[in-house]
Amino acid sequence: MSDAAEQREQLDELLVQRAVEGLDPVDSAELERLLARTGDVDPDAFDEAAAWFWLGAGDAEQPLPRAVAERTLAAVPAEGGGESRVTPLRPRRTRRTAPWGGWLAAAAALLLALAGWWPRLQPGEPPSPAAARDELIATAPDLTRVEWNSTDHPRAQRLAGGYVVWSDALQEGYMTFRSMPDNDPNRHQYQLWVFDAARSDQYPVDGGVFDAGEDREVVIPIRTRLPVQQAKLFAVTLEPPGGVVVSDRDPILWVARPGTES
Amino acid sequence: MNREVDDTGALARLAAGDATALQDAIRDYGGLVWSLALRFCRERADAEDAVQEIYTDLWKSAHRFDPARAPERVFISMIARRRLIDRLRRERRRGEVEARVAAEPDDRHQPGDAGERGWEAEQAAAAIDRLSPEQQRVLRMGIVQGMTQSEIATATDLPLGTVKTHMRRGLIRLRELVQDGTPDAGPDSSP
Repeated sequence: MSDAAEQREQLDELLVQRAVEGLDPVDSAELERLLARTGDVDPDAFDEAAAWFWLGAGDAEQPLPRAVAERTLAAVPAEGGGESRVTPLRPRRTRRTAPWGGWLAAAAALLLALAGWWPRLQPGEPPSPAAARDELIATAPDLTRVEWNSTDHPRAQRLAGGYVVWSDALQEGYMTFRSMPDNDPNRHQYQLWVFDAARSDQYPVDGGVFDAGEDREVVIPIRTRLPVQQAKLFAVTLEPPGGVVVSDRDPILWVARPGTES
Repeated sequence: MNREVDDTGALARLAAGDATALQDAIRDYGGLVWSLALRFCRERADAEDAVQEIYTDLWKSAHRFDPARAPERVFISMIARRRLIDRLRRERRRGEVEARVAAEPDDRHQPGDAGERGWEAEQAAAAIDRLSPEQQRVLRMGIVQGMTQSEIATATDLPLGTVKTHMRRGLIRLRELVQDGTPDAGPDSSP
């Protein structure tokens, strides 16, 4: 079997699996990589066929309870267009942590943050991103450091290397890129997405929009717009100026997956 | 596809910012979304939350709906299934649910009652009848009963690769049949 045929078979297999049972983050990243390499694939075809199958063979429809309809109608317009911020209709019964667990975690994180950031609270010039990164590396109690992996996109291949450092406890991180390909900010910008184990893979957290800069080594602070409980994947996409709220993930340029470092 | 293209449906109006469109989408497709949510969620409260999430997803993705490609009901089923599969996977990761293996529904669609659910269900049911028995079986176990491909392989004593092949070919064939709009003969003999 040729490489192209083998790649197409693998792509179909992942698309079928996504349509029937979903994909884990590793397979999702692989699917994105394959889709970026294969231009003539309809990524929704199998999902659509599965939807047809449900219509023909799934459960009989039951009327939506009026109360649920009314709550949905009241909630959705205020929430659309941004990150997934669905308000539970009632308190979750499946919470596994004690009610005060979050407060303890927050207090611990605050103490750690104050300890780690103390030098930066002193008067004077704020540290450079590179200095702040090095300080995070030196002080974070749960530091994650992982190298960037380039996809097969031509732009991605031009990166000489780099890595991500991130601390869930401090909610702080930095991206380092070596020989990052230039971008024209009037045409497109880079955007970081942080996949959180506690959130849907469909809605990764926006990690900030940024440009390449002129230095050979660029350090970019990660600016997540929502708390990240457990970062499991970092991905950089190329987006229109200003970034997007929900990315179509095309193209994904660089991916860093914690836990894969040797 | 032999059907009229309707660009004044709820999704097109939702994408255009029509404030009444969401109400119409809930009225017209609430039963479809609710039945899917009940199938995927262990508890009713979860299903209620899921409905809200699904309509939020629809609100965000309505601009992607192409009436020339598939009817609203198919697009909404697709968006709903994606959300529900994602929720189920998260719950499984947290160990909150057992795999919903072999939970054959009591009120599963039976031949003959598709008409009351619209022409899409009727067309889909006729197309499914054209699939091979093996394809129908594994697709029903995966899509309706929520079993993973590995679980299906175990339950049917089929090699995992065979299950995957039946699924892939079955879905491709099903899509061809509904796009042609002529699923009129007996089951295909292809695997």
